[in-house]
Amino acid sequence: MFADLVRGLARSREDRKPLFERLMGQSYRHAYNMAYRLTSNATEAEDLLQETYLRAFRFFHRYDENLPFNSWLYRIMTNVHIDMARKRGRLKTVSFEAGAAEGGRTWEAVDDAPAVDSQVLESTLDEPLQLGLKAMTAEFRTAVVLSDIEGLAYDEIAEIMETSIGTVRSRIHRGRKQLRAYLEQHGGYVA
Amino acid sequence: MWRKMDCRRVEPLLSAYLDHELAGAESLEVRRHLSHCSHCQREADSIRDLKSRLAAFPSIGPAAELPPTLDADTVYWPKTGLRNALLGLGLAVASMLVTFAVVNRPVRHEPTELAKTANSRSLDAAADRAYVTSADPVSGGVPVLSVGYSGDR
Repeated sequence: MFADLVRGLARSREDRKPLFERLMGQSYRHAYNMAYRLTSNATEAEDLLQETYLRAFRFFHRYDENLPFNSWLYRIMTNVHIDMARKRGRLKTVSFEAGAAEGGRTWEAVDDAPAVDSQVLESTLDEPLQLGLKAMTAEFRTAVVLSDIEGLAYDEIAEIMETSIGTVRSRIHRGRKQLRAYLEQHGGYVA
Repeated sequence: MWRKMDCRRVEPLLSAYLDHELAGAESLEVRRHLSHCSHCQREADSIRDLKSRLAAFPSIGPAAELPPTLDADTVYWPKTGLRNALLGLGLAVASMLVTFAVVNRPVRHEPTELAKTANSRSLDAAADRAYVTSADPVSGGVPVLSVGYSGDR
């Protein structure tokens, strides 16, 4: 009886593994781009991607195959990214005037992480913008990346970030203003 | 004064307006305001420029050409409560005892089906381990049991 139980478990996991590996193969390039835009660093992007896929496989039984795999994957990546950012203690409060005027705290990444990859940035042609993304609050950065780089609608972003559309709207707007303020301060903004 | 109140109401809506995420009435109100408010129009233009700049980011690909491979065999059960957690733990312990007994039994005849299965990767006695893991990071449910299996060595 116990052998049957374990055989059944092994069989179901083996059944799921080829499907997961196929989905992983189809998604990893696009997912890497998102991971890089969130972390600004190739090593951290790989770490983020690895942890995301690991969690995705562990909880693959929760995935509804009728829904887009990327949306579910980005939901996990978002959680992992924000968790990683908090655990590393890379956030501190600063007073961006725009954020302070609205009564909310704003954040700037502590500069204790590896620098943004200069070799990669030569090809991006927009180092100030990537540095600006790096300096943003993790939640704001995620919302802006999902909206302006991934091109997702607010309801999709709300699903991924597990929050309301109103919160998504606020994070995107405040995130863009935070990014614009950084670019204006560091000479990377062209009006 | 009336115009300033309009700006305070319209400004937070500018991003959603530019993303076509406002309902009809709100969208119309923002458009009307922008037609006679140069300050908010400049705000909208700068947000539009920033959006375009982000959209123009080229795609960054990983250094390796091949996709990642999966080498962690871990299965999580959804949260089932204390009773089933104890049942699951009991089953795992019993399974380990059975496997140990089978592997250490003197072999005088052809191995039984159970012994053959015990020698397979999925029932590698040396690699089997059962542990209660921490909270489910995706949904907050508590996995009951995680059984890890060794990879090929």
